[in-house]
Amino acid sequence: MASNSLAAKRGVKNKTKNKVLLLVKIRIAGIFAGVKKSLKGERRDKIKLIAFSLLMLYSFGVMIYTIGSFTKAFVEVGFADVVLPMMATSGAMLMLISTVFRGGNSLFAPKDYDFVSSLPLSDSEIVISRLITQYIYEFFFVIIVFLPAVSVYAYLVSPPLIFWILIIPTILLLPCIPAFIGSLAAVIITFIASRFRHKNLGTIIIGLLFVFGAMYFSSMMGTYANSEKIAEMGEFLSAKLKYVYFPAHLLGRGLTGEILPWLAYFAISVVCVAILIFFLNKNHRKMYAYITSIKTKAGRRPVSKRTTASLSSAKTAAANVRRTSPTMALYKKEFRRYFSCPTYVLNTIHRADNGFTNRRGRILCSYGKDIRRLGSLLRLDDCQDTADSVRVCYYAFINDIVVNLS
Amino acid sequence: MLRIENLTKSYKKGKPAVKGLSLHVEAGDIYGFIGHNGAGKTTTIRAVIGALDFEEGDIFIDGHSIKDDPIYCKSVTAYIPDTPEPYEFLTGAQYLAFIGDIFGVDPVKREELVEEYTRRFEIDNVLDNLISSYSHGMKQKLVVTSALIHSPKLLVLDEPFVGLDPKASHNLKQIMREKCEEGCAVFFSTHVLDVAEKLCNKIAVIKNGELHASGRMEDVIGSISLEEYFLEVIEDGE
Repeated sequence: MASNSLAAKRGVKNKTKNKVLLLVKIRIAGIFAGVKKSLKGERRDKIKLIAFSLLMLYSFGVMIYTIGSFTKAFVEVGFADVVLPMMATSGAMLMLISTVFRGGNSLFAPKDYDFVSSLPLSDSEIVISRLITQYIYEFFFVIIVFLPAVSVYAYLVSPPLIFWILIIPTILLLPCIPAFIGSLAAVIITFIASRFRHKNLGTIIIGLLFVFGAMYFSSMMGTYANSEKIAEMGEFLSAKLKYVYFPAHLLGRGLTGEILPWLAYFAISVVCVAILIFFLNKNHRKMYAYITSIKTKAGRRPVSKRTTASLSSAKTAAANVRRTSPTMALYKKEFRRYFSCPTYVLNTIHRADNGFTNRRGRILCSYGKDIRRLGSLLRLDDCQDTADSVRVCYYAFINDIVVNLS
Repeated sequence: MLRIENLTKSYKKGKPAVKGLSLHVEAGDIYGFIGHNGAGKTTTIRAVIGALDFEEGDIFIDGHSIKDDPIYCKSVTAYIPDTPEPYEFLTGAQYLAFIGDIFGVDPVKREELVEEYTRRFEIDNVLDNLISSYSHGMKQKLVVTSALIHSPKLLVLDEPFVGLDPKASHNLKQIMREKCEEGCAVFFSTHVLDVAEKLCNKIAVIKNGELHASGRMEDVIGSISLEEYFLEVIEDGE
């Protein structure tokens, strides 16, 4: 029958579906919206998608190779116990920064807020679906930072049975604590930024202050006086990580056989998630109302999608347009658009930092041409031939990291 | 069907967006909700659909309080916003399937209603396309269809005729009348006073967050047109 074939074509299912999973499926589909659009688009869109995918694969490959190489270097130098906590900390920092800058909107003020709120869904279902989506997004950092390190570590170290029992739940729990801290920070930053007229700019500035403040705070925790003795670096790094990100210290101990620290890490992760769900359940509406209202002289008012300008602001806008040239008007518009989105600013800072780090790394690697000289700087007696040049470069990197941490 | 009692909503350190609003929409009513820009129409509607908390008062849908039983209230309500934003990365069919799944609509019934309304709105031939390729009017028609497939008892529409072509507007008005004859209630805000005057049997006028007048159309506006009445109300306050 026509209706049956139409039902089959339309994918009409005959069973009750879990509403949380339906929402999560929609949100995840939203992340890959661009891919879907390209696949359904013209030939040139598909070519662009293939080119972009290859570029992303190459980038991920380089990143995974770098992380794997770092891990190998750490293990070879004798810092095997430190490498997984260090990578967990690195991943946590990335997740934290991502949540701070993205979490405010995706957790508290998603674009489909009104629509989802009008559906027959409980607050818990809505909140949990957002958290699961955020978790999946953060898991990306676990895949590119922690998984390569785990793979190389497991291959080189041949860890005990306890490692294999605990590693899967450890990987699954990694995003929990950074998501909690990041969400808390996002709440505070949003609350402070919403008191200003230019909320997005406020979010960017306060967010950057938070991130740099956290980095400065962690650098205050102890100094490393002797950078020439590699053997002491391991102890220093271990002590440093304990202050910078204590849960990583717990999971590091757990993965080497101490079950109690791992259980503590598990408990902290679960408690963080429970608190986050409880807080969001109670306050997500208030947070949305606060984020989407603006401060005016008459007090706060909601921003409607079709706002009518008052007469006075229309006069001011008209005066501004008369004063600037078309080029300047366009420039100002782009300038304001850039600062209206924290992601743009964050990406710029991230690219600039990468460029600086890569330059520093290339300078260091150039010393690899003179292995003996670099080896003597690091007090390495066995760097006698060029086959060790890669290893020495990584020693230089580690030395550089340690010196910078101190 | 919809009873709003003493609804008051304020934003922090600001004057109330809505203050002491009370009105009653019965089954079979097509209830128009009009007011100037910033009067509090959207705030009221958002409170009715459960997207906005409010300080005082209560809202009852089919006898159930939105505060005590929000899931039931939302399951019998269909909301059509002024700016339709269905997920652009889905096809029309996938979007309707999503709504049907969320509301737990029986697949056979869902299929019948989807076919009926998409054919009436002439979007049945684009359901397999991505929503990102739809025009504003097509999105509006899709959202209206999604609102109707779960057979709601209360239709809440925020300026539903914006972006609809004349034929689609006519279809929507017809559907609203049919729904009311079936025992549903329609509550919608609009700036198109002409349509409100012809379509609605009852009306509420909101001004600066407070209800100015409500009741049967002929009782509220008397012998003048709705447009003339509205302009008088607005000018009184200036």
